[in-house]
Amino acid sequence: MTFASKTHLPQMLPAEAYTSGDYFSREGISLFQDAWHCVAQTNDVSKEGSFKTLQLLGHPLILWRTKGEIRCYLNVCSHRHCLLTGKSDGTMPLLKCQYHGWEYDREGDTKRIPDAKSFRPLAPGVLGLRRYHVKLVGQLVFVSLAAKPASLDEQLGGQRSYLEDLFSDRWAPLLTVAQEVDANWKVLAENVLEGYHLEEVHKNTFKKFAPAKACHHELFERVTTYTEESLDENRRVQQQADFFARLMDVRAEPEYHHVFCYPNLAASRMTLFNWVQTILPVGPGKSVSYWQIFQLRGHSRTPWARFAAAIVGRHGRKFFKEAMREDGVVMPGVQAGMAAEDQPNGGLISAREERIFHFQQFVLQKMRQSGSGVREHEETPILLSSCEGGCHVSE
Amino acid sequence: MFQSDTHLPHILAPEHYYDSGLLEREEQKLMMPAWHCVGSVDDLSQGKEWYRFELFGKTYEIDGARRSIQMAAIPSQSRSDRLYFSGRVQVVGKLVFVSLSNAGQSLREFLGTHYDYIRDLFGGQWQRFLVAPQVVKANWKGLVENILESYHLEEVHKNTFRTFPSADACFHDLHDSWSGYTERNESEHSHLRGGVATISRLLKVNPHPEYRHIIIYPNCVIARMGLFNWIQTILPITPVQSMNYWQFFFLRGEKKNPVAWVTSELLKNWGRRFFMKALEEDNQVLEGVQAGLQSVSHPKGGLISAREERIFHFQRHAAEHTGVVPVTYATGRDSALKWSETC
Repeated sequence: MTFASKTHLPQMLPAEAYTSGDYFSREGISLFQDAWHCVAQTNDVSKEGSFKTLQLLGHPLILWRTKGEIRCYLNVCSHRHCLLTGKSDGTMPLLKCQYHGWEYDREGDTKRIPDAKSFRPLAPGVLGLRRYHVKLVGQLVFVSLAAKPASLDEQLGGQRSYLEDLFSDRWAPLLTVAQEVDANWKVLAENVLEGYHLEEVHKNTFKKFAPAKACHHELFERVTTYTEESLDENRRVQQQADFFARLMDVRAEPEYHHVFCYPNLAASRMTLFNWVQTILPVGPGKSVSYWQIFQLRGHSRTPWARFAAAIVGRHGRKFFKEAMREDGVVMPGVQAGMAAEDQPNGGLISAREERIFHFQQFVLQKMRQSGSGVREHEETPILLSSCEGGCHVSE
Repeated sequence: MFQSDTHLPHILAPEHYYDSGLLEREEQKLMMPAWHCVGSVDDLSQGKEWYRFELFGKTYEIDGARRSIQMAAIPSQSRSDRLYFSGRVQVVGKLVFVSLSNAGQSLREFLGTHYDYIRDLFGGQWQRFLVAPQVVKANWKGLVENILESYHLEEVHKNTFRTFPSADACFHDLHDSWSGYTERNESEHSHLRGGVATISRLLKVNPHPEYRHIIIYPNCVIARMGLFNWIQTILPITPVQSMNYWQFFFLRGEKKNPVAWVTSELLKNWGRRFFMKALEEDNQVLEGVQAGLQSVSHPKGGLISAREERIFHFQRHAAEHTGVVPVTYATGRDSALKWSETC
């Protein structure tokens, strides 16, 4: 199997879709407002009363484990709007504001107000924290900012059970990185939707892209997947992975598999590792890529197995940090190109990059559906002279 | 006791704490007509020809001999440009005030009834021992509101002030252009009062027992606490960044013997540690307030307690002078109420 498309494809989005503040605002409504976002893992708030703070689309949030359940609130006090806490994590028996010591219970209602008499009269229910929906998929924690969010199952496009299994307790957290990148969020998404850049950008890590015959794309309505068969030229890497896997009494998956659930979730499995990436827009030219990387837990508890797991973990941390660094160097360059006043001739998507075309179509479709609208000049694909007569992706 | 017997609404909305358009109006309507304390005569009498200070993100210079100010030279500015600028400089006690406006109120008019009080409080036996310019990532009004209430002392100042006083010990003065706070009960903050009598005897000085705190709108804050007093000038740099310019003084007294000298050195050391710690405690939380205000969403509520009524008074002053339409929160109180109606 090679690619779904037999020809190259046009760019569906104009350069301004990557740079314009107006476009960015409309995307916020169309694509992110009702969506679920993977922002943590259960291990981040494993103990009763433990919390983790984060920023999600301009909202300071606090995840808090209470009575065994993970809940999410706006990390802003209802008194004078101070962040409840500025710490990234910690433990609180009740949510308490750092400024005046107001305390809130698990429903987000005020539990204790110091010198409460100076706030008279105070009707019940007038004050309180804003609460958000939380759902778990395996170890992954998803949050939606919507009062009535869309269905998570629908958003994951039939991949929920796969992700449940992929991020089950068999996997141990290895590395979490919130990578700030000076580029539009779609640049980050499109970067992980193709392996074409591996030879130039990832010289120290992935090194080569696979031949077409080893690549398999599946294109669904809300999800695309990429599977790369085990290659002969990667046999040495696979043999090393198998060696450590045997010591740990597990199986190293020979195939590389990558899933992208629109709008902003990527998940992947490679030998003894898997990872999930949430791409969060910050501004038209700024994004955060939130990586959570896991390592397969060994079944064996022997000293050799632990030693092997430690070696694998060390290698994994080094490898993924370097791969992120490599991407982090090139993506601002893509953004700068998008922001250039003049654009060059061309601008096209290869069959190998067809998942990008599919992603761009999804963005346009959602923009049309939501009523936030697509401007007329944003509708037209950027057709190239070489593309006249029809560029399309085969079904 | 407080003047209001109920809680009060916020008059300013969160966006008023990061709106660049409003900051421009605030600079024109509130800051430009005002006088700002930017230093002390010590800064002009150390053999320096020029004393530099910053106002609203720009650097200015005071000519020590001529007591005039001009914009400091910056590479992108021609000399002729900076000569166009002029302003007023005046000294009260040991404090140097400047105004960037050549018209408008004199310093005596601006300080009003506090002119003589400030002259005495920052003159004579008072000696400056600490200057602390602090750049804080928060809107200037967040810095002002922080020092207009003692409610945060228990949570934020655990290592310094520790507790907020009981309502019975608190007295608020609320006037058109200023507000004041007096803490009269000597049993409050006893950990800060211990030893004052002994030190005062050694220095042969007579500190006032009350804690007194005054803000002259928009941004001039003075306080007196035992053997210390301070003046704080709060200056906007950007909508989300401000300068907190603190100058601390201690009561040196007239005694010049070795015991008095050692005592005053120990007092200065204690004061430096105490006040720097208190500023550090405030700075940490002020950035949290700004981050909360800039959140895309906000929680239910948003209100001001009677203990914090000076904030309501300040917000009303700022809103009236800049044309801000008061917001109404779901606290059931109408923020457009006049002060008399709320008391």
